[in-house]
Amino acid sequence: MSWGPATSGGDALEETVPNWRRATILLAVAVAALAAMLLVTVTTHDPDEADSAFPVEGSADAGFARDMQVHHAQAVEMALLVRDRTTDPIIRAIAYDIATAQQQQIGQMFAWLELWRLPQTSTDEPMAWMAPSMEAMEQSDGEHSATLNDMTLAPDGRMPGMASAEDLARLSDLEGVSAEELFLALMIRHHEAGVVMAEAAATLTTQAPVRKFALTLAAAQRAEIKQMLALQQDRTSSTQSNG
Amino acid sequence: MVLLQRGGDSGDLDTSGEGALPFEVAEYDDLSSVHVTTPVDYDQSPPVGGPHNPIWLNCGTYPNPIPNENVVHSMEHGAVWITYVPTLEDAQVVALEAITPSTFAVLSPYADQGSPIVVSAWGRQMEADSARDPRISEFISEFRLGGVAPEPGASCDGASDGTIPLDGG
Repeated sequence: MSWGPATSGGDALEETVPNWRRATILLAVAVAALAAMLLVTVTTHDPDEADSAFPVEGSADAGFARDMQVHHAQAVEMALLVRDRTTDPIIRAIAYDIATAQQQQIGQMFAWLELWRLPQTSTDEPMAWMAPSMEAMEQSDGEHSATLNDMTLAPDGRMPGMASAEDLARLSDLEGVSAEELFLALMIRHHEAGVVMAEAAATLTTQAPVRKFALTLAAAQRAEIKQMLALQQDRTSSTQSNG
Repeated sequence: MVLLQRGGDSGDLDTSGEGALPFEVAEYDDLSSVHVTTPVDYDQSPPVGGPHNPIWLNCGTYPNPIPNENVVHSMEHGAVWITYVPTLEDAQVVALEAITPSTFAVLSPYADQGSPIVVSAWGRQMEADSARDPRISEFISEFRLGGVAPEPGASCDGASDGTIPLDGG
């Protein structure tokens, strides 16, 4: 490497290079060292800071990851309640399926927020992150107007599709077919709102894994709604034939 | 490989979650997830997805054939299913047991299949002649709890050990 005019050798720098040029060389070395330090700062990721490509506070991703954890937690609760209150093997299987699948998904959403260095709890109103999606739906042909009316918070602040405290108390007090019927009615409504939330998240997210998760979740819950409608139908038919 | 994008149209986000395997696998898309409590006549043998029993099969190694309708539900939850013809030599079966993951995987004999070994996941399938074919582990790595399974990570335990009747008993 050579900065200055050709010299007879490295050892000869002291003798042959004038003072102003030696100062220039020192400056160049200082600049190079500083540049190297900056490079290290840029390329060595600080483990306490989130990646700049991650969602930030106020994003739809953060809102979805928080609200869907709360929404899912109630589905887990209702599934475990009915599993303790019926011996029907099919209802017990679907309840086990919903409880374990949704608890596993809660873990995924929890981990995203940790990875993104965002708190699990926010002071934002539940569902506020869905506003851009709701506006888009309002501007479309009005096909979703019925859904839009259903997607508002209840007076007690609970999210769309969620059962009330009274609903949960009733489910706790029932046994057998009565518990199964109430469970199906509550869980179908719960899933319907869950599908709308997931599809809004799939539209608004900037993260490929969140989009895949939301689309997969929406499709799975649509399939479960069909299964639960069929189970509901079985119970209505058998009630009619018995009565 | 999944690419992250900022802004732009989220419709461009790659959500396949699938890397590029260096070999071909059979792909079947748009499989039904409907629950039925009756026997199902599947298009593939062994089946790769479609209508299934509400009660899934517990993941694990089975020495005898297991009901299609239960194990298809396990694949919906992200399990891979390794099947082998009953005439496969014991050393090969032992080698398959060794590469079968302890969770979210099922190993069982299956008479009606076109090659000595078949590996299936929801919507994806490959054939192999030997348990030492390295593609088997690559397939498992790609599709176990991944690929296009509708409910990856839902339970693969606590349900049927293969003896519960399809109508729930």
